[in-house]
Amino acid sequence: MEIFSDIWNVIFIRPMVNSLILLYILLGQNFGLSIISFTVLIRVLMFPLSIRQTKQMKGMSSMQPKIKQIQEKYKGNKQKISQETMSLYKQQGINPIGCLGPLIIQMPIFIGLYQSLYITLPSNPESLTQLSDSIYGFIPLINQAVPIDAKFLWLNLGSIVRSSDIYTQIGLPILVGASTFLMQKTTATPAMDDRQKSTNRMMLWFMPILLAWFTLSFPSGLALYWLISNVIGTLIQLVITGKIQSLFNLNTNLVKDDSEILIEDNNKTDIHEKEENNESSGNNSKNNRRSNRHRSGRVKRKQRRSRD
Amino acid sequence: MNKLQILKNIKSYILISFIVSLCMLSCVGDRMKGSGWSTPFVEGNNVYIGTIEGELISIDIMTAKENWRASSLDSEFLPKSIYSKPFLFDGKIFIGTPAGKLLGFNMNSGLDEVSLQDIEQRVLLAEEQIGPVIVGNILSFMDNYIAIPSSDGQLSLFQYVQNEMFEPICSFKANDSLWAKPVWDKDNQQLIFGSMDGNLYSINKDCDLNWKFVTSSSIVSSPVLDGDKIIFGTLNRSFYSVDLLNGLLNWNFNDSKGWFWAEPVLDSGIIYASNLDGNIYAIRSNSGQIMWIYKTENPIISSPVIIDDFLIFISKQGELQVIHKDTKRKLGSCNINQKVYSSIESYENKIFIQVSDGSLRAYTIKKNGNPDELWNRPFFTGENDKRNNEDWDPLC
Repeated sequence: MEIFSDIWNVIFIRPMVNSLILLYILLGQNFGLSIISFTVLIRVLMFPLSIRQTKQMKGMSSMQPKIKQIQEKYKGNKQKISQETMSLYKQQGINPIGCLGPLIIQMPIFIGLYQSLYITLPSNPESLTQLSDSIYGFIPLINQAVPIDAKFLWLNLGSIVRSSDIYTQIGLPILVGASTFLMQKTTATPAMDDRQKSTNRMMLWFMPILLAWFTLSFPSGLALYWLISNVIGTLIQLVITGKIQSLFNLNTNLVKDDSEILIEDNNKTDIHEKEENNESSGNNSKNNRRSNRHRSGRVKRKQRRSRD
Repeated sequence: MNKLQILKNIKSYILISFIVSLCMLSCVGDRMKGSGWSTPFVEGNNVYIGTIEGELISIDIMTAKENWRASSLDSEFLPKSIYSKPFLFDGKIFIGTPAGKLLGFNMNSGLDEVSLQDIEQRVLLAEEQIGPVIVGNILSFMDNYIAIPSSDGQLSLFQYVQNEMFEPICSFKANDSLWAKPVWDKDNQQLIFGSMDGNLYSINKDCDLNWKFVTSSSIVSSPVLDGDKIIFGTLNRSFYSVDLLNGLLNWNFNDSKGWFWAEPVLDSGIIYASNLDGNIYAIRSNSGQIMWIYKTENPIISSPVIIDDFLIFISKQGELQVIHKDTKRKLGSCNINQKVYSSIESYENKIFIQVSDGSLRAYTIKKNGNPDELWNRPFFTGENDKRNNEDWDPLC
């Protein structure tokens, strides 16, 4: 067990502790800014994953009509429905649990940050000596930076939320819960059936309330991390899906709209059918593909115009 | 079970794991529970120890039999573990608690003494019910004064009035916590102490500032007086010698790789300082020149002690070592295999150490430097601790 603990310390805890302290030194000895920049850094590193996750969600959303068709066609035969659904997912390159990617990555970060905050903001001599074991001696000025000043605005970042003043006890959990709700709303997985819809609805409310409740037991610094992470995550989702750009009449969304994916999918099927026909009739398939692309381009342009 | 169901289950498992992790984090237990930080105190035939459970216990030195135990009687929700060392004053044993109280007990009976201040026979440093944490050792000086360093940065001076009370005299506020014991310079009538704000302060009996020496890092270790110098270490891996009269730098040494945490020991013009880098540094006090460095594998949090020509220290991982103070030759060792934060208390050729497993250990240092267990078993400080009745294999 100790070896796992040592590995965890070396891979997660020590780099986190030292990153936080280094940011603290660079940002004018402000630990709140250190946590915020750390959060931004994590989110930036997770950005490719966020794009992938959103694509997955978009894909699943666009497949709803086809999944409904399958469910109606094979009504009563759960195994067949499941087979066809999985095969459809495979065709489209969709992973049904892909949307949980960020959560899986966030879990060790969250747990690691929780432990790192206790080490970085020691409340007793034992914790301060543990900090000494964790810091990298080669970082300049690091020994002069400790112990860290935990004050940020009105918060004591090392203090447990429920031991803080009344405004923090009420305000922080509400902010964490509300930001989690918003984040969930923008990243909601499309439901395939009514049961899943009700599960999604329950999770949409359950997770924010649960996290808000847990916030009371966490250090304020951890609550700050979660809040900022949710805000940045929500903004990223809005940018990825083009909702922010549409506000400013920009057309640079990073993930295609549902209808584009569906049309492209139809065109792929058309092309496939055409190729088969061309092989049998001996026509020039290249000319056909070219004309199909032109046709799909015209359709796409029509779709965009109608949207605008 | 088909693939889709399996994937749905995986989703559920991931979400459940996340929720369980959150539950575990929020129910992580008492993070404020101490680790046996308080140094034992020997007086007469008894050793006194402030425990992890917030009690003060008197134990017979030779037999390890408990004489009495007294509780701080703080609320269950307050941190309990005692950090500061007990001290003797007017026939009473006093201790500072993590709730900011100063408790005094009859050294023979352990009873609360009626001569203390308020109804609960306790002195509070602050007006609120809960005072700041007393981490550093309390200094008694000038026969009837005490100086209490606390976590809110205050050094509070009290005068003991016989059969009446501790009269508050004054207090000096530093910019950060005081974890180190102050030192009384009798010749110049000044109190000198270090703070986590990085300053070494000198104040008089009226708490007026004489001078201040600024370092770039926190001071946790208690300073040591050597003639006209005051010597101390910092968390910036530096060791300083400062003039007592004006606070000017004599020399400083900064070749260590870790923090100077514990109070150094002075013997015949040589300072012996333990470091969290695992080394013991022997430094000439008049010049700052290194005499020798003794290297170990593990951090040393506690202060070393000197008995005759032996320098005795214990690492955080529990390895007790005895070396020759001049030649640094290793003479004896013993591994307790438990974490040790407390400093060593010595009495004649015996040493006493509080260990993080909630025990008090006692050793005799033999003439060849080998440590030998003084008692048949450690004294486990928990009330009705079953380990006191179990079989025990001596480690030394």
